[in-house]
Amino acid sequence: MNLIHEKNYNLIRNIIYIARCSFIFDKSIVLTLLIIIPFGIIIPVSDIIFPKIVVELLTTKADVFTILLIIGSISILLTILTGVYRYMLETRESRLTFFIRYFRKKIFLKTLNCKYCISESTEFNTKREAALMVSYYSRSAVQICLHVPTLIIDIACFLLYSSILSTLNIGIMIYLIVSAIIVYMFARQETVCAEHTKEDLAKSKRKFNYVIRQCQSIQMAKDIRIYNMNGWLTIRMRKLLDDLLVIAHIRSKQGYMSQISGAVMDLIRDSIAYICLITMTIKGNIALGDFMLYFGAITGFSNWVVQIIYHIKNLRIYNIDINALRTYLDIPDETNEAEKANNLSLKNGVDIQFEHVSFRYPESSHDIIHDISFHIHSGEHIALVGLNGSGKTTLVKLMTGLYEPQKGSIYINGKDIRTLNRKQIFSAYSVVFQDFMILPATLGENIALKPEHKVDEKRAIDALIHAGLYDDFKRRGITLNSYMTHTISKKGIVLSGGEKQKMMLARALYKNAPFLVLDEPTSALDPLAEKNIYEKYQTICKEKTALFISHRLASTQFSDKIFLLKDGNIIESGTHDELYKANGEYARLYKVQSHYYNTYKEKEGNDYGF
Amino acid sequence: MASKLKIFHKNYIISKRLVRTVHELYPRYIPMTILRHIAGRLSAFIGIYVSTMILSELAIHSPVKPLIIKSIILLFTACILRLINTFLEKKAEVMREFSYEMMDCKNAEKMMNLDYQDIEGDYLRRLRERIDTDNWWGSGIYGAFITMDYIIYQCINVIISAAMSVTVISTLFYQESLLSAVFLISLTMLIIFNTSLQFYYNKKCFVLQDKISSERDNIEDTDLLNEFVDYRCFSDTDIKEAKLYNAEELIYKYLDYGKKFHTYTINRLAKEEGKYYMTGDVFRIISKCLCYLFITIMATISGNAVAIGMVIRYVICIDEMTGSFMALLRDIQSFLKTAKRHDSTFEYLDMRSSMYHGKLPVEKRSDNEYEIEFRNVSFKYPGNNEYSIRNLSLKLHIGEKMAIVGKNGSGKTTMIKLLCRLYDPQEGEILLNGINIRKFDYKEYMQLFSIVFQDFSLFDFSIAENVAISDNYDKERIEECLNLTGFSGHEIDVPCGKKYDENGILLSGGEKQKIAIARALYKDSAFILLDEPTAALDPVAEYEVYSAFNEIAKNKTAVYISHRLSSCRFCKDIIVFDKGKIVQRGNHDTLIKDENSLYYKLWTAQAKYYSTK
Repeated sequence: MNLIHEKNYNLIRNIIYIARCSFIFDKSIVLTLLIIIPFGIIIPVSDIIFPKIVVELLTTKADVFTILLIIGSISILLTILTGVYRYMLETRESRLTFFIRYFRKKIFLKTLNCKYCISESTEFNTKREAALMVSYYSRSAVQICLHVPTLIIDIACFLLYSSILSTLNIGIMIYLIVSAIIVYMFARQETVCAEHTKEDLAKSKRKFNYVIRQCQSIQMAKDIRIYNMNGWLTIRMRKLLDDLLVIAHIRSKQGYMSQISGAVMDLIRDSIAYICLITMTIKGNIALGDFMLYFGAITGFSNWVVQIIYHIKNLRIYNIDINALRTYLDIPDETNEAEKANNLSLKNGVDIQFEHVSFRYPESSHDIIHDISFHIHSGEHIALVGLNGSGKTTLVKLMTGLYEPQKGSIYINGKDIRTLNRKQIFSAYSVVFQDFMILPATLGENIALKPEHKVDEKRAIDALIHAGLYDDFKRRGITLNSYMTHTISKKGIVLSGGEKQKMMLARALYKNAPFLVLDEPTSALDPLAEKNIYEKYQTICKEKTALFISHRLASTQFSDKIFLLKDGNIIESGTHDELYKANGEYARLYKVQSHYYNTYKEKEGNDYGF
Repeated sequence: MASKLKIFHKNYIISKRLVRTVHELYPRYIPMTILRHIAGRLSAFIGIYVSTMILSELAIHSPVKPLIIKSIILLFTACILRLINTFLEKKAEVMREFSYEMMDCKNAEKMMNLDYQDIEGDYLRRLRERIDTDNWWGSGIYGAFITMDYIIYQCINVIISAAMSVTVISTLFYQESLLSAVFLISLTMLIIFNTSLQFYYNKKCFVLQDKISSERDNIEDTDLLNEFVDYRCFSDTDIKEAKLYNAEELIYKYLDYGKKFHTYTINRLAKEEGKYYMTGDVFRIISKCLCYLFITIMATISGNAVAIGMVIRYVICIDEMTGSFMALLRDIQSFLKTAKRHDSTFEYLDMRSSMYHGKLPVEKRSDNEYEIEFRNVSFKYPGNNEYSIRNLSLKLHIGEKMAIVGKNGSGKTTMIKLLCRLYDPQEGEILLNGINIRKFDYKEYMQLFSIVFQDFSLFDFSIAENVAISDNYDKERIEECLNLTGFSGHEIDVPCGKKYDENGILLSGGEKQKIAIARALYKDSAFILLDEPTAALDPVAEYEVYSAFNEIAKNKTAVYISHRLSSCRFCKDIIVFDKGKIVQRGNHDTLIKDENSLYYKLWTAQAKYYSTK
């Protein structure tokens, strides 16, 4: 299934797109780049005009004053033009750095605003990486802004030179165009080869970069030392580098033919041009000054052809990046969905109902949740247990509206989740996930996940107290205004794994939504801290609907009901006592885990099978 | 003055080192570049020579045929030289293209040879930040390759153009000495002006660049957008929380943090860069115009003693010479800049091991008769005021299983880190069979340990390679180890993860943990240490691991760390850690008797939920 539609605009349309974006970004940059185009044409043309003028001045035996006047005025004009042109070009180019920022921001916001089930898929991530290419080394968006004016200059000069040459000899012009086409054909072959090896190169490069990154990552450092992976990794790294070099050499060899053909074509061109010009001068058809002009035009002409080819080639490469960018940016935002009802009332708590719900990941071939039906009444405390991979977290994501089921319906307070506004669904839940988000913001902002002026300080402190962090933070001199992580401030707060888990709990408490979901909230905590959370759990969840997910079956004892999830379905449900007595799967799990805690004596190392 | 000399000397040393580094990476690069530019420049100057020669000959109406033949022979030579040039250029291009990768290899090797305590340290973190900044602004080693290429080009260009214009000095300059003197002085002035102006702007740019990417002291200085986009402060798993907690407003607030400062500084930098490049271009064009002006005037005054073609040739050559000379000074400047931007990299490559590494070989014993003793060991993490381990004394008995329990942050993991010398203790010593472990050869010493840390990591290579840490592995043994941990369902040559090979599979946390344990088993060392090995496993998988583990660890010294006290119960020897100290030691039954003890508290905290009614 394809989640994301590939976009394939042609070059012109993408140039217009980039022009429009850059215009929105900064009008002055685009205008300046267009204004300096005439300058860019005059400066190179002066290279062939100058010698002509000098030769003419010398042959006509002009006096010193005339020479001073003519050359002097041209010099001043050229100096000014060059100065303005270069300064404008360079400053605009540097300022375009921020144009990249414009796109990077758009890319990031898309991550945040598109549907969660899309943003989680690997396809999305590949597309995101591709889109980000515009902002890395190639900087395609910026390059297009710079290439288009240069291309216009090239074409203008090409036309100018053509008109000079057409007054000389049509034959030479035809030869020049034909030779340009031949060189272009060879150059194309080179690009075709580059296309062929592109994938191999990208693959080897990715592998190489992966190994290099791992070797240098702090995360890997411990394992590398303990298992003495040093030599093994070095050999692998060097081997991958050799692979890269081999491909690169094959690629570079392809360039020889176009180089040789170019050199030979130029040799023939120059020979013909000289013979032709010499005979014409001898016959008196052209003056000596014109000899310089024409010769300059002939040699310069092919340069413009090469430049035009080069720029078009590059623009096409950048076009691929721009298409990747637009493919990504055109993924619809969640808020783009048709306006949905906004009338979910949460006053009387939350009541959840699943009816024959099935769900599979877009890239998967089997259901992770299969035909599940259950009802959680408002105020109920549910424990959700099951083995690794049984679909517990997926169920939470379905319930909270992050995922949409392929089959069946989910109701919140009797309303089909599909008809509800997503923000409203989210407002019904406080969820503590297994992985943690800590933003480089203040502690208060991290608890409330709202900007500073909207943080209710009293509530935030209450949440900290309930999560068991307040005393410790107070001792360390941390206030709600302290920044977290090292990103903004070197003195930022860094939390340990256990503290992070508590911090997430504080966040959920602050939000105070009617439905509380805790996904393995104690896995990183020591027994005493765990016990503490368990004991608080009762008070925290009072008057709330709650779902507690855990490997540790102890958590089930203070729940009203237990759901045992296996292979995407609830296979047992009921209270602890009921399930224990039923002696099914739950009882088996419980026995395995409680085994050592039980007080009856037993010899160690006994076979305690089930 | 003295300090300036010192700076100059330092720059000289770094530049020399940079040249040497380039030479070490590709010994052929420098000679090849010299050869290539000689060929290239000769070819170009032959072109100029031919056109100007024809012009002069035509002006004096010499016979055409020999002129044409001579021209074509010269053009042919130029063509051959040009091909040599492009051939070598292609080779150099490949070298340059992969210079980053070559340097990456060097850096990665260095990283793997550093001591762990340095890696986690503040010094290296800052140094690496500096390297990133420097590479960004100085384009890294690629910058060195490309600037060296330019410098060689300019040198050769100056030499050849000077050689070609030397005759002009004997004719024109001799006749018009006053005018020539004015001409030469103005050219020299131009060069001096240009160089000092460019030097000035270059320095300004350097300062501004540093300002943009300086240490993060000031909150407003950090452009957080990049941190968000590159997932450095926000990961893709964070999206769900951002959505569920409606954090968009907060994220928007921080996205544009520092934008104002950066826009302002970048615009200033843009202006300085603009001036820098403008200066170069403007002076170049002035020198060119001066050449045309002076030489034309001189030729006119001297009564056309010099052929027309020669005038053009001298103009081009003298222009090339001054232009190249200016460019040469500019390129040397930018090479110095590149070298300065490599200071951090060199500092990194020069980092020495801060730990003492002995050479003593570890006695190989088939009976695994090794004994470890901690003697009065105290340790605190660098930059930390509190001790993580306080005056710890402990013996690990051979062949026994030992469990360590305690609260978060009580020093359990730290003890293991000390044992495998990821850190060295500040006080006391750790002994292996009575000898301080610092005296042993580190690699051999590490052969004694298999450790699975809580935050272990696997490579996205194949499962087999991850278990064996080698390309040549014993397939049967790998399968055996994997079976012992209860891992099943995947072929062993399947890559785990998609980052290295896109055909890889994504494994669950539990499966990864099993592979990590299998890796420890495959190593088959005398000691086996598990730090919370089952945190991500469900009860059944946990049970499997523990029951298998008893089997495997039979004749080994094993240490477990666990929050789940149930898993430690079968150990004869349980050690309870609190605040970096051992507070209790013994087997479960003795420890549980003391109702005021920490062990009792920890145990009952968990057990009360499991007691059978």
